[in-house]
Amino acid sequence: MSELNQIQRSTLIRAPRSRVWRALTDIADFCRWFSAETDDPAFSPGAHVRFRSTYPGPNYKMAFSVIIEEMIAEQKFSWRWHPGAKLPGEDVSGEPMTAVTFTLEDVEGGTQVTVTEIGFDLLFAARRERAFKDNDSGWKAQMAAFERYFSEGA
Amino acid sequence: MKAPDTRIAASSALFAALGDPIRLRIVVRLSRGEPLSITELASGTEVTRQAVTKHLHVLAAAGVATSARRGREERWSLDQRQLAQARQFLDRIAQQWDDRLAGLKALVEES
Repeated sequence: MSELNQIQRSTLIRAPRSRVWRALTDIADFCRWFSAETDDPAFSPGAHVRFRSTYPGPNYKMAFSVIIEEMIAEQKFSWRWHPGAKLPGEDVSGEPMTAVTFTLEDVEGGTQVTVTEIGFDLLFAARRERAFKDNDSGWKAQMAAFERYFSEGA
Repeated sequence: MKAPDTRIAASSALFAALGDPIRLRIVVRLSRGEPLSITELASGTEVTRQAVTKHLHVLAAAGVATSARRGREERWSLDQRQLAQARQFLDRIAQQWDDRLAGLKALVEES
């Protein structure tokens, strides 16, 4: 089931690595392409940065946050977070987080940007365990988990 | 892709199918991965084989459990649609990354 553990996506950007790095890690630039807003001033390793989504749709203004791990200039930017949408008031703080890593590479014509997100196996295992707990709170959690699956893509 | 109303109907059937302590217990045992016979599912419980059979058919109708014949015996396991749901979740996350990388590319290349 290892194919359920990670997502990897990549794109070629026709610009030097220094420019891509700035767009990735300058928090104002980041907010523009990520469709988010924040009151926090900057990214730095170890920082817990809070955002609200500005992506149009049902999750508009949904709060989310990232914990910055590594920032290796013009090479690697990584964070941990709780992926996906959540219901208002739903507490996912006890769930395992996934790890997101951006890597930048020089290629002909520009910069290859690759994003890798790992840790979904632990997340699914935790949700299954929570959902199948043979008691009332497990049942409510299962309802919430299924609600989340069905509301996410909308 | 199923239409949203079909998905809601399907999820209601799923909730109803799991909304019973005996069925939940069956699902928990099957979630360990090894396909089990009705005799194995009934052993160690106060539930009869007939009752287990009935519950398995409710779970099958909801797309939670599925059976395959091995020799003379029918063996039950969780339906792969459970897995498909996880895959759908990943597909949506992957789609969001595609959108965001496209946004990053546009921001950098157009500025």
